Amino acid sequence: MNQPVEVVLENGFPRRFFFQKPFFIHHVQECWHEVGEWWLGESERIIYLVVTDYGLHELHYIPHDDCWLLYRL
Amino acid sequence: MFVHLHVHSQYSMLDGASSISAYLEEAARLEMPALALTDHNNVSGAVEFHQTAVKLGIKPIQGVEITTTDGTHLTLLAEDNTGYASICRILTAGHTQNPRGNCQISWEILANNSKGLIVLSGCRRSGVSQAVLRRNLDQAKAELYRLIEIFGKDQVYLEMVHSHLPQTKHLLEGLFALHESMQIPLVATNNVHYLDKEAFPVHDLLVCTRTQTKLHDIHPERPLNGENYFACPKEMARRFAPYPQALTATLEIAQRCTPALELGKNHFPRFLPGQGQEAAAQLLTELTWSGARERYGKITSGLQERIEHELRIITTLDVADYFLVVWDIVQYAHQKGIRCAGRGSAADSVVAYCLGITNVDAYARGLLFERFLSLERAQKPDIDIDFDARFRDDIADYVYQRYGEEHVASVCMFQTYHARSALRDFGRAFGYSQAELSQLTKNITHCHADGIRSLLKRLPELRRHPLNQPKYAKLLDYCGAVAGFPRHIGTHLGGLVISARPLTAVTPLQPSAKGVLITQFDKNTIEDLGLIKIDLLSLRTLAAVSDVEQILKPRGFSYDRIPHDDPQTYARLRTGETVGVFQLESPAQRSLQSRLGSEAFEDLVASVALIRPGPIKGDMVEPFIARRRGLEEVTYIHPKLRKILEKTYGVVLYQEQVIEIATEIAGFTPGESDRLRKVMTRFRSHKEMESIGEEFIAKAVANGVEREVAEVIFSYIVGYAGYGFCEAHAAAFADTAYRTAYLLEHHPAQFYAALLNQQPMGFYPPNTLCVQARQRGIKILPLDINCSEVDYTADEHTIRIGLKQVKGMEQGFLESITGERRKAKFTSLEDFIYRTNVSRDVAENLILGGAFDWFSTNRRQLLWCVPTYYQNKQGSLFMESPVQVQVPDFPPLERWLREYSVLSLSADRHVMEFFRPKLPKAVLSSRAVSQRKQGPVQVAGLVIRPHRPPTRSGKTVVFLTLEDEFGLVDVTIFENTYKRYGEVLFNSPLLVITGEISERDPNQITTVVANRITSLVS
Repeated sequence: MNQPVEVVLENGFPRRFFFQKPFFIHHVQECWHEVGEWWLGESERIIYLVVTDYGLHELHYIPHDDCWLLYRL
Repeated sequence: MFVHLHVHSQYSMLDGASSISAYLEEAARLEMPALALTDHNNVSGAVEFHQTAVKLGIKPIQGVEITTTDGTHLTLLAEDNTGYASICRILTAGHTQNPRGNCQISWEILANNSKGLIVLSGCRRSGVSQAVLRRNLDQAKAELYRLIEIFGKDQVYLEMVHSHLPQTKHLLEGLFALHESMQIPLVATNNVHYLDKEAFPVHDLLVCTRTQTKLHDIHPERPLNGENYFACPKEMARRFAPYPQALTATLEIAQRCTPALELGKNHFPRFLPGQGQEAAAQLLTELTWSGARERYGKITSGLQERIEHELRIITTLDVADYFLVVWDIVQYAHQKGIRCAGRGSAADSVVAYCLGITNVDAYARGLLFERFLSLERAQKPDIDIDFDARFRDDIADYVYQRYGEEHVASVCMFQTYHARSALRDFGRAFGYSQAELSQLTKNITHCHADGIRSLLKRLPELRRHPLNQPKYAKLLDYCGAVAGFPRHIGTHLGGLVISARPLTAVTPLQPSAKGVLITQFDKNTIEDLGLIKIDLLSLRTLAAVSDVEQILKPRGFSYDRIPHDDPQTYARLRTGETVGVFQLESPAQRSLQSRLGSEAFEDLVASVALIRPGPIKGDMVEPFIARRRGLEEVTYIHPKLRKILEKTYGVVLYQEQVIEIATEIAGFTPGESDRLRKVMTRFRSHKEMESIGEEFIAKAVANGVEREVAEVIFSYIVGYAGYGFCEAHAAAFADTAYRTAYLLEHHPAQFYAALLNQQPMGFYPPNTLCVQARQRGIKILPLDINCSEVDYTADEHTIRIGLKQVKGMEQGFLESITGERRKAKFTSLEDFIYRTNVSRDVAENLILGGAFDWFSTNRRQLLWCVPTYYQNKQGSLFMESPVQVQVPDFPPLERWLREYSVLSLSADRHVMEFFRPKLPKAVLSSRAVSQRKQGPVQVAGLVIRPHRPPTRSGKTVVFLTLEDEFGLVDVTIFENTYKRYGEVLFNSPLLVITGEISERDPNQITTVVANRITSLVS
């Protein structure tokens, strides 16, 4: 999807996000960092695999732009 | 506080993107008390790491990351020297028991060499981590039990790396569970591969190079993120907040380890096994006196004093064994008839001369032994010997046999990143095509990888180079970041080390591409480990002179009995027509010979020393020539200088003279003087120079020299110390130079043939040698499948091109051709193809090279027949006849170009013969130009070796030689002309040069100073 999304944090970790409707995060299953295609100018992103009532989602945080993307719903 | 215990430097070739010094400086800034270096399967950085760390007050921990036979990784740290020796043995076994470049270490090797080692369970690629990631804790435990069994419980740590990769949380929790259940301590590392995040792209590019992938390719070894950097203790504390004990353990390990390298020891073997220093000294003394009687006949008191002086220093420094080992090698060469000659500062030694190691009479020349060896410097001796290139490996084999395989190895050298290699590797990773890469590296001369931008700015021929485009800016940055980093390990040209202890206690060994075992330390660091290097070098010139001697032997010729003062040889040198003469064939040397008016051996010694970057930059050449020819008065500011500087007409040319001046004028001991010379040469800081100057002047004044005079003399030394050349080395080379000049003068055909046989060597390509030979009236006979031997052959007036000159020719083909020819001559191309195993490509090259011209001069027609003959030979069902169509031969120029492309020369014609008729009358031949003494000229020819040596003014001057059908013309292109025409100059093989005959010196061979350059071909 790679869509911008609004994310609310708690203790530095995503707690809920809003994409057409609110999603409450039960827990962060996995978190890792990726450099992406740095040679094309892509900046580093931090990936959170989160579990909500609706299943598993992938949220990407891009520190350089301070923005969140919903990568997979 | 935290200490990094898992760090990869540039020596983790193609997997480490930061230098040892960068890590250590950062560690010092972060106040880390210790640091470990753990490169992949090597300890090549150990000496540099040790020395730099000690300087910065950081404890160096030597380590390595090994690859096991399971393909898993393990981190080993040496607690002490025992542990370091274990690592050396482990790595040697891993490298030697597996195919080259695939070091793998078996558990058995580890079990046999576990002493003094602390083992960290390893990164994500370790057996333990892999098992945890697969959620197989039983397997992880089994891996750990194996480590405990091999290394002992107290030596094993569970390595935790938190580098923000997927499953990191799971991995760390699993390792913690193992820690809890097995009571194995945890330790935190960051598996560091680069200093900071900014260096990550460089690491990624190196990994792409190693894995031969492009940046957009997926490969399991490509890093997912840039978190394996040299994180500060605060960052490590943040990452390991739940496991503080893992951080504390880094300090505990650091405390357990001591610096493991023992530097400065002497591991050189005793020449007489089981006997001490005295026995070696006595044998050396006996051999020296015996040699002295042979060399000199009568031993004068001065000579006796000199030999005793040298022997005293040799004995005091306990290096008699070294001399004996070298003597023994030279003896072996003599016995086997292998020509050799010592070079370098060893020729300052009368003992070396008496032992037959060198051929320079250091006593007669008054050379200073202290330039080679002195008590004050107490450095290790360094003797370089040149051997006939064909037999250098036989000599090395003898050394292996004599001292045992475990005690001898070749010294390695690191092939480091330079501009072209970095552009090629990184350009490939970026996905550029071969054609684009060729464009990017075109005309990029040999320079450091971080010097490309400066090159683009400096060289006019690069003005429109594609690398100037902004899109390549990042590529240039990345290339610059790896400047000087080792790309792969190779073999030093001549260096061998011999050790009393098995070498694997001091350095790991690994096989080279050539098959010999090499050390993991290069010439710059090997001696710090206590291993003395002997340079056994191969010199093709010696092979060439041995060839000539072989041909002329039936006529009673002996190379060693060449007369020392042959007037014709000096006359030849003065003509400047010395292409092929060892060390005296470059345009600068040819010009110097005529200007200097060489007429004695001393002129040749001075010539070898003069045409060097130092003397040229130091403006020593012109004053020397002027004084030599009596155009400038020779004066000495102090009478004591006369004796020292007389042979160089008052000019300080040799390093030995600097030492003598300091000794005579300031009363320094020769050893102190040499130290002064070294300090002045290497550390020319203003402050240091001032302090040495004060010492020199004070001592000179105390020695009775007037202060003003002492100051002037010191200014001479300052001016020349850094530029001077070792006289002993110059004399050793001048000896070979003179003898090859003699061969050129008296036996040119045999000499040129020998040079052609030993290619590549010398300054000029084979075609130039043939042009020169033709100039001397020698006929170059064409390639002929029935008449050409494997090598070039010669009689008094002819040289026949050898079969090996053909592009693509292989030993097996040559054996097949000569074997069949012994049975019967080839009667046709078809006969040749049927009877030999020569490949189709090489058969075609033979045709293009003219080998079948006796059968048919229509080379194109012959080429047309080749496919059919090969098809028939392979047993085609129906024997086919070659195409019957008559095809015309290649047009003359194309025929010539094709011949040149497969032979790199042409037997009978020069390319300029095709262009001459079309050239205006004003364009002269080289012969016509050489007869002019002044005025404007235009000349055209093939460009040979354009080069830009350093100049006194610092400006760029290009020197090149134009070759035509009549000979050579040397051309000088000054900066302004070069800036204007640089692009055409370096991009066109045939040039028309308009310029003026240089009038600098009427004795000089004709040189054209260019003011306009155009390409002869569009």
